[in-house]
Amino acid sequence: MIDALAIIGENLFGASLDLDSHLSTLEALGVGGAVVAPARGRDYRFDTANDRLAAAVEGRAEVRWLARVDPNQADAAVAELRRCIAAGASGVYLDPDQDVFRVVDSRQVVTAAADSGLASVIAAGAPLRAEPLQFDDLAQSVPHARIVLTSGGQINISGLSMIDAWLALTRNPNLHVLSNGEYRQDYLERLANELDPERLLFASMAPLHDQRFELDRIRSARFDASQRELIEHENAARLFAFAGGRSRDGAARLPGAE
Amino acid sequence: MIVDFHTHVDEAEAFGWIDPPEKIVELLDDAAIDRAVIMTYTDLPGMNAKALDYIVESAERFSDRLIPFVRLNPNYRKDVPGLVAEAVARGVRGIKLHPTTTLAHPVGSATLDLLALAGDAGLPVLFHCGDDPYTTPQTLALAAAAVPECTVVFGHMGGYAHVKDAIEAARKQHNIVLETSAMPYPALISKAVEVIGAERVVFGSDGPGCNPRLELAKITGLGLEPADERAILGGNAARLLGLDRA
Repeated sequence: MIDALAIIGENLFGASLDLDSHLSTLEALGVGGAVVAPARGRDYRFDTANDRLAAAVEGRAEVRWLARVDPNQADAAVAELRRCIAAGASGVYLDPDQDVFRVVDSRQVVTAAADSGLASVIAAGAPLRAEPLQFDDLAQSVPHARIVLTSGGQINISGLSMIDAWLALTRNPNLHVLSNGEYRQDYLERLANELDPERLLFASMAPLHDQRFELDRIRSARFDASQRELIEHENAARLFAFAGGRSRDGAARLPGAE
Repeated sequence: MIVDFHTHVDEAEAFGWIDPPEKIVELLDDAAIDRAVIMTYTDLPGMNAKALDYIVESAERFSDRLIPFVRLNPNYRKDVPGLVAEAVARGVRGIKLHPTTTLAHPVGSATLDLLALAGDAGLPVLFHCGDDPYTTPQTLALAAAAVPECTVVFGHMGGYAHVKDAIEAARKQHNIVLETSAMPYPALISKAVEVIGAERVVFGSDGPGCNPRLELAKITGLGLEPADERAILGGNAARLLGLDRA
């Protein structure tokens, strides 16, 4: 099983989580793999945060890391992403809320990641900046990008935003979603049953969300065995290039990430 | 006794939400939850004139399990007093208000008049309390302060970005109760207990869309003092709903 997103390191915006602590928690929960991205630290520097995370991940076959960049920095953000890709990053992580940009203004970075064959993981749900139909615009403008949205693609406890998220997802096969914090288990089940189980991934998004509760969330949703295998393991292995990851019709397995 | 303070029973074809009472009862059984407060998705009066009949009859079919709340639109000012009286006469134990669907501002006179009616009748009022305008803890706290004789329950206890605000509102205003459904931060339930005490926190699931078993695990996994956990899971609800007097 793979937790497809946690935010690691000193966190300007709340609780901080170090990699060893996160992996220890996951191990206790029976989760063997992890995808991690840097938090924004108090120094506001992503280059050093990326380097720290790359060093922490070094030698851990069960962990993949995402570079974090600020799309407001335009060419400099793309240069930092390319530097991280060369250092082994498996994708890019963007947070429109914390770093203050509209998702449509991340097109240059998302395109650069896609041109390198890597996914863009983007924090979804912030009003004005990361609404579901803003992701629809982004996905349509970079159709070759694989874009992974946190929180099911939306944040709204009325359920109203789910309708826009569903529209965005049905219109754009390149959009995927993480399960963290999702309002309504039946939405997660509908994603698997009516859309495509290859487009939903288990993630805790710790420390914002609690690993144990998020694991309970995905385990309590009703999926058949093949859907669950995709959601809890294979989709992350495929999107983030874990060694031994496979496509739906593939055969290889991820060592140590059962 | 475990009481789920927030579930839905309705067959609202316009929304595509078809949730007859059997559906929530099956989920309650699965989670070993004894009883649940039920309410419709639609506001009365409005698109379903039979909503009160539906919710009362659903509760009567499962009288040992389901406790009816009537969901009202305060803007129908002339109709509301009669609807509240009829609801009470038919066994309704509380009122649900969802300002996002009614566009009745919580401190508008229509809503405040309704809260006063509820207070007089001893009915708790469960507000949808989230991140949208008309539903934030700050807005609802003004309503609670204006009608202190009414028990105001913050459903979802602030949603995603307003949970700490809900706890702070409840700290200041003692007729506010926090209901735990769907909000995704278990640790903040412990925080609420620490700040306002367990007696003003109630378990809810927002089932059947949200899974009652998962929502229950959110409480039982906190490691609360047994007495506090019992209060949150059912004792407080029994007090608010008058079940301990039945």
